[in-house]
Amino acid sequence: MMLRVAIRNVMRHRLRTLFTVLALSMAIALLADMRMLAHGMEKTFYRVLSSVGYEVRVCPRGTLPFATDAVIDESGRVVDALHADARVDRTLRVLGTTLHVDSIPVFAMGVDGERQSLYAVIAGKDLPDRVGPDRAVELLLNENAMRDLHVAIGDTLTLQRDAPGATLAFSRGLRTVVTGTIHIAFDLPGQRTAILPLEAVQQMRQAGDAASFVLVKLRSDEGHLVPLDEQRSVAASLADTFPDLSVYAMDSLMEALQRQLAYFKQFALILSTISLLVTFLLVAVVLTIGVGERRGEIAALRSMGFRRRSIQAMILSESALLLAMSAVLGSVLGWFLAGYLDGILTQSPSLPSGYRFFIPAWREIATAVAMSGVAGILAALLPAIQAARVDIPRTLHEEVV
Amino acid sequence: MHALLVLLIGISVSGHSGAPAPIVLESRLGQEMHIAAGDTVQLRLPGSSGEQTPFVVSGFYSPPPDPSGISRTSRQTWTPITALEDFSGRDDRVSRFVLSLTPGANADSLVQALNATQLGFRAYRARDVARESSQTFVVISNFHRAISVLSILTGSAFLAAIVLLQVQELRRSLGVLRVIGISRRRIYTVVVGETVLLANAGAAAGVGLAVLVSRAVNAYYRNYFDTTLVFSSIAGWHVVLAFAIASLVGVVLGSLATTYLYKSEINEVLGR
Repeated sequence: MMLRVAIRNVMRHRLRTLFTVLALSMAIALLADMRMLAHGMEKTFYRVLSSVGYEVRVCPRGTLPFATDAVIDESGRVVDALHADARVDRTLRVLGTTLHVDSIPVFAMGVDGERQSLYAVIAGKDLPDRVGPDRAVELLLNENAMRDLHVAIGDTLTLQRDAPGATLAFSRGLRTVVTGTIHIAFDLPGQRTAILPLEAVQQMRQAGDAASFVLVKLRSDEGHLVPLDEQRSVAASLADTFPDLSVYAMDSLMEALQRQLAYFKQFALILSTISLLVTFLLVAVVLTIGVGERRGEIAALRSMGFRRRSIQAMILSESALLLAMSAVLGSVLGWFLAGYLDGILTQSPSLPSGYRFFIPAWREIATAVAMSGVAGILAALLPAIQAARVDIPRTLHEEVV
Repeated sequence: MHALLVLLIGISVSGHSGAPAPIVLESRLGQEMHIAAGDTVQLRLPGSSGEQTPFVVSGFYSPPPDPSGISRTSRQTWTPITALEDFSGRDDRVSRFVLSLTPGANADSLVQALNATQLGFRAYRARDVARESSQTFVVISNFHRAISVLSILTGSAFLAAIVLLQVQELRRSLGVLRVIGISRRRIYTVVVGETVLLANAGAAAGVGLAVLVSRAVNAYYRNYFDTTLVFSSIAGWHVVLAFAIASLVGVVLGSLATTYLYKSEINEVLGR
């Protein structure tokens, strides 16, 4: 009964309801999007880290993978020690550097390790385990490099340590043959990436047995990532073994990256709070003025025998109705808005391709709707109590006179 | 143990002898590691298991605030380039040259001439480097702009709902004004004036809140990132824009509300 009255009340002022629903929808959409922003970056990071397929990363102390030029000097010794641990399944040593083909720079990664999952070979074949003494070094390129260097599988390329110049006219390059095309999850847009045997890159850099970092896959059933607790425990014991290096489990690496995400997370928190505040204020203002406007009507209902609880239920139902209508519109708006805002932020040049800030998720939208619902119902409590406490004889007298 | 990565930057000076090389540390590093001028510090390349190299701290400096290095966790130091070469084992190599031109020199033609030498480097004007390195901030700025537009739309819808409520509340009074012959223009002026006033009061409160939030944001992020960068600033034109948008929204909504009021029958307006 009171729900029907509430529906009639809400529909009586259609234009007012329309604007209220519009404002509430946008607040709900913003809240949903800010939740997506807060969790989308973490999800993307986790997805990229998971796709690489290694649980533990061993880096020079105080650094993150590829964050600096720092290297682990005796990486072979580190790998030997890692393989002595029964929990370690396999490792991959990676040494990153910039090499040149003529004047075109290519980001080259030297790798050494069996059954790697750092990159996916999408055409051709993977690198051999060993570099043959008389053969040209085999090379894998991503699609950007293939396109920019105008090469195909089977072609040969000469890589130089530095860009060509008069002082380097007599330096010897590294003759390579392209054997495959690869895809790497964390490539930057337009980045030209090459994969070579570690030994070849070490020779080019004259870097001895150096590696930028070592990836570690832990032993697990069916090759899945092991649980975080186990990752942490292995990382802690490896950190004890290598006090001069930083050892990261997946969650500790995420934590180390949090600082770079702090701005967006806090921005999302501030905007979420503002959205909830707008919802609270709007519902409170609209219902308070509405109750003031309908005091006579409410007094009449009370005089006809409607109980205080029924009047309160009517006001709360009005709030719920407004929020329900806004939730539908806000959910759709939030979904599309997330795509639009993501499109703006992913234009950043220093972002790996496939990186997402906003990942549209019904769960976040449902949470935003629930949070807004709670804010709206709380905001409706005061006008509902006010309405239930209307002084019947006085109000009716005032209304008639 | 401090897990800080020290980023060494070589500077070209002459007169380097066999004694420990001088090093200038970033002030923060000195504070964090309780190092004073004249102390000897032992440095080793990250990840290296080789011997440490002694450097004598000759002073401290604070790097200028740089947004692109905001999330940098490493600390900077300066040392003569020859000492850095010895330390890193890399001879006669530099990351970049920075040129200071004579007053009136044509930078564009110099950049062209340098790039034409084909010596294996690329020359850029300082402003081009600044533009390239600020691309990320341009993107963030666009994101903020999109959020601002959404906030304005939400605020406008909020205001529209309030104005309609206000007009509903004033319906009888305005109806009486209509009955006693007050002109449409005057009623329009009253409603629009009240709406504009309400919108501007909201803008004033919003600007006040923005000033407080801006101060809080700067205080928080300066402390969080340990920098003197300005994260949020409210310029005069922001305030003017806020009031201009509020006035515009007020006029549009006030006009709509008056039209809505005049579309209703006078008896209906008077509640008869």
